[in-house]
Amino acid sequence: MRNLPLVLAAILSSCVRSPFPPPGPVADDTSIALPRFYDRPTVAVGEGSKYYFELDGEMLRAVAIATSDFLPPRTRKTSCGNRLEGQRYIVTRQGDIIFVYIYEDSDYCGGKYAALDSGVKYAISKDGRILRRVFDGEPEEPLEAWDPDGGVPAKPGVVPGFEPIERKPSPASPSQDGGSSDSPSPAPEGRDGGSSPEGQDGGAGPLPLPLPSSAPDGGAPPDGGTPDAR
Amino acid sequence: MMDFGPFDDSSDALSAACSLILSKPNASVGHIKDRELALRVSTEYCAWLYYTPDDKYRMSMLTDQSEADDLQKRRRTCKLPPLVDDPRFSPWNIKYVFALHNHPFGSPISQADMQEIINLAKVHEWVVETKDGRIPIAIVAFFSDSKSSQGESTCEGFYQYAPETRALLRFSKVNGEWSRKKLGKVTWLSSKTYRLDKDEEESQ
Repeated sequence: MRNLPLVLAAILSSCVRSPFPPPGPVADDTSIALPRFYDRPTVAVGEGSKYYFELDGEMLRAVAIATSDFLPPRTRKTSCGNRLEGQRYIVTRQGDIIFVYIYEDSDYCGGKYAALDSGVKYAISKDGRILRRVFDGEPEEPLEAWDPDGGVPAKPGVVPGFEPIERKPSPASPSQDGGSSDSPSPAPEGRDGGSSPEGQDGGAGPLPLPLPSSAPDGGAPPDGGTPDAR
Repeated sequence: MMDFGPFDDSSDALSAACSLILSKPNASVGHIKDRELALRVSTEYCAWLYYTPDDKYRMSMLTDQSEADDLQKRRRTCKLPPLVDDPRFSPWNIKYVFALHNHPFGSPISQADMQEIINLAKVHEWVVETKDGRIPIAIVAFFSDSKSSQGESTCEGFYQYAPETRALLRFSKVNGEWSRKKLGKVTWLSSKTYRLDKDEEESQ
């Protein structure tokens, strides 16, 4: 009986901590192909759509199960990036399987850092079982056996069109300057033009610098160039 | 980072960074058969490779998870500060070249990786001027599937995406020789959607 208060506290705290359904065991059914999520547009609630959005209970439960599995229990010390409201959620359904993609909303949390590989994808059955879970950085399918002979010899990191200037040894002018004549012309085709650097010429503020916020709903860039950040 | 370089050449710096980052504990877990164990121990490290006014390439301090409560869940994100704090140089004179990290499972560059480097390019410069010419800012994900005799993972290559060219590349090191393969070109359909066009491979 001496431990009764402890047991009660544990039970109560578990009740308090569990507003969502317990996630249950996680299966790893690799036969389920996860959607790519980047191959078609999303419609975000509250970003100007003329439609209302309606979720059925199974989809809402699937999101709750995914968040309960993925995020740590909420306490006062939980960091912004680990809170429910610090994530973005993309949901779709194919037959009896609901797919949920959760990733960190760095804009919401102040954009202090670039959060690399922060997301996770779930396949959840309509009766609430996690069928598959893949974290960002994990391969979704067996990695293609890469052919080491499939490429061309290259210096690491050198992008085609931006080859380093070849410096020919010249006793008269040993320095590097003025070599632009034999510098290949780069092909700047990724940008929508005119984006001026902010970090180099006095635009950067003190550490840490917030990353740029996204436009509410960037349309498709006309040339397939760089999109607005999310 | 004290034990790194500096380097006169960006490729030498990148190659050294690949070896260094992958030598860190659990930077590569592809060899671990138990997937749950691999997930639990896998660690992502990230850093900047930057160019300084003395024409050198340097690497910032490595970081891994920066949120203490990340450890309570399985998220294996790496939080890369947008700015390097190197007191030897004015912040305005540091040029940001490569956002480095490792993919413990050896997976390719993700959509989120690409979006983060676009965000960072907007903060810094899309293309930096160096003594060797112009270099587009890029995100780099190192991978490995082999180990050294000391048990450390060795650099086998990396994936790279530069917002300026939108080319998705893979650099591989075989028997000490580097090669490059173009995996495709990214066409952005909206702020969050893209298409990867596999165009004609570079011919030798």
